[in-house]
Amino acid sequence: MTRLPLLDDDTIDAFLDGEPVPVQIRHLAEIRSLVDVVGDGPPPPASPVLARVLAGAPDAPTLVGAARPATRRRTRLARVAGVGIAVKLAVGVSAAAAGVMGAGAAGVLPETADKAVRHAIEIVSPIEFADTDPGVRRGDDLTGTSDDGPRHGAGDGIGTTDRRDDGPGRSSGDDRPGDRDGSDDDGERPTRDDDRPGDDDARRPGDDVPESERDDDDAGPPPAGTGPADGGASGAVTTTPAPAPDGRATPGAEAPRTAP
Amino acid sequence: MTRRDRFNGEFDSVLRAAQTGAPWALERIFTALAPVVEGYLRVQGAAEPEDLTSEVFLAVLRNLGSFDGDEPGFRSWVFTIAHRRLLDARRRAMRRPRSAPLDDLADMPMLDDVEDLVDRRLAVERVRTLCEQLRPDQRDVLLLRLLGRLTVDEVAAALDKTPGSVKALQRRGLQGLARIVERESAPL
Repeated sequence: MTRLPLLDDDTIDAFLDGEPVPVQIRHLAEIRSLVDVVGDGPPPPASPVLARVLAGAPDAPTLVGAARPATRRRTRLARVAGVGIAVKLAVGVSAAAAGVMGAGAAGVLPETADKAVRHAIEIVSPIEFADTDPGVRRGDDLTGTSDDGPRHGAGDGIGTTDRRDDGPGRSSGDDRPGDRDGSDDDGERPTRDDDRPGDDDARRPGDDVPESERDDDDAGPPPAGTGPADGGASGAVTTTPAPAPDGRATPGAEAPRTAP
Repeated sequence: MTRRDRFNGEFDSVLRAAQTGAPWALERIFTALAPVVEGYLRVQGAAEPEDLTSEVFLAVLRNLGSFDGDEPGFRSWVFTIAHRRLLDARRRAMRRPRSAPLDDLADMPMLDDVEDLVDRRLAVERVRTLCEQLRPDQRDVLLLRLLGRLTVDEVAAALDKTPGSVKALQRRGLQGLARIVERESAPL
């Protein structure tokens, strides 16, 4: 086998122009002639659309132009497909989380999930559902089972913080503000979620009396580290006047909170 | 470089007439360049080279009004479109695999001269077999240079490469082809 010479640009140009090539690469001349044959011959049959264009049909440009949207769709799909898998995952998770948060804020999730989502929203944002939205759902709970004696202690947990505000002495020593600020995660009150009905009691002092009494039984002592300062913060939290579903004014609920 | 002119020196007048929509000029453009474009697509292994050729010329004729240049430039423009359509067709084929083998040449156009038909089939098959042994980028460069008659700069623009890399690819590709053919012709 002969050793092939190194092809320089001049040799390549000469080859491409059809000029004689060195004997060492004479086989390339065969390829060149083959390529010439490949490029010769009659044109292939035109597609129906192209045939109309070639015939100068007046509707042909419209038909040709109609193919453009598909190309744009492909371009958009290709752009999305070109995004990395991590970005796709992040977008998907973000969309799912936003959907769950939105559903939780709208109150259309099941009770248990609703509690968790609202609690999470309260922790990561300044939104506080207990004060800003007394809402139909709360009202339902209050007028339904929440305020009943048998249901007490088995509540949903959202309102635990406000529920403690029922009792004058409790509100100041409570960890309500601490709860809202995230101190509820300290594990000191594992049954915190159990006294959600009290949440509604804060807005309806009239209902609170028996509720708070019962609440004392299962609430336990206030956690260490909480004090009057917390109570003040608690009062600040509950400044939103909101009418209770039964028509009683909310401001009445704030008096016990601010009182030490 | 007279081999490059498939319009017999009449490209300017043909282009002007085609840009006004004259059917004879459109037909002239198609007749002059469609065979070599189809040959390029066929050697590149396009699944449906005839349909793809029609797609290429639909795009060419649709944008004919925006072209301004000479015959080599026009040829380069047409082959750039052809190469991009080829890449699109390959992507489509990857998403929707064909059941029929891609190397089926039974759909070659019927020529009046049977000898020409056989010669062309054999040439396509031979060039394709040789080029399949090259790297894809070497194959692209060589076929655009040999079949499309594009310059190094035109190939570089069509393939989004630098002229230097195109020169290197064509050198290695030609040496590879020469080596393959020499090895085949060597006595056992």
